Amino acid sequence: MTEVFRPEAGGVRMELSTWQVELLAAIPALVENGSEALPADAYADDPSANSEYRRYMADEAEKADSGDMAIVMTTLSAALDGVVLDADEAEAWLRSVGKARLVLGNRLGVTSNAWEADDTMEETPELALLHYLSWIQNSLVDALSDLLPDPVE
Amino acid sequence: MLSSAKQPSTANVPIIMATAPQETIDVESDVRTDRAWNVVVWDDPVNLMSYVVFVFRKLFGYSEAEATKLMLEVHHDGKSIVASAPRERAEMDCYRLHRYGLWATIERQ
Repeated sequence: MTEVFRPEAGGVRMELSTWQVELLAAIPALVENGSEALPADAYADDPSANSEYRRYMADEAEKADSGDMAIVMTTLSAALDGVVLDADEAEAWLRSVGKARLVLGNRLGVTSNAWEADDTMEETPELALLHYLSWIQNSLVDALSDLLPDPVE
Repeated sequence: MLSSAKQPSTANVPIIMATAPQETIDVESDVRTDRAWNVVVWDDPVNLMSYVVFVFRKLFGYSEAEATKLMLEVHHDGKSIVASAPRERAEMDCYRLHRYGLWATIERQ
């Protein structure tokens, strides 16, 4: 199967079919409407420290997320012909796909690691999309891993 | 709390005597506290193992082997300490992990 993402000089090449472009265009709305499924607290048992943390970080997080989504939509429109994402753009894709998967998992009520192999789960568009985004995420992780520098021992 | 407990309780102690030890202890306490925060990543059923390994490598510069070990700790033990840092830095690490959708918190060592 052709990889959607491939490492290339200067970044990661993304090439998508029409239906994939249409499907992935759903990511921003999906994430925006499901933000309660995303991690936001830095303290497990300290509501007041969390309030302060959110007060400092919420604006920054919102701005950063909007930036990621803008990159996704801009590059998506060029992906039919193939487009090379630079490292920052590829990371924006990775974060956005990761968040979309969390939102879908939450909607599906996934509570156990066994869901990927669970044949008894009702087949729904959300489940199919989650599996598709797993595949997208793996392709992107493989491509981006090639760009990581070898750590200094 | 620690510093005020060490202050003399009599009211007529000269100010200089009452405040000097407090300042010294505060400085020491701040330094100690600043180095004592763990960044913890918790298990979740949705994030893929390969993704978690990549994020650990990307954000903290771990080798693939180190990142995989930490990911497996998260997977098998439910959580893993991925970094230790002063509080402000730990909060920033936590934020960066949240940006990737990883369930991170910070806690005192």
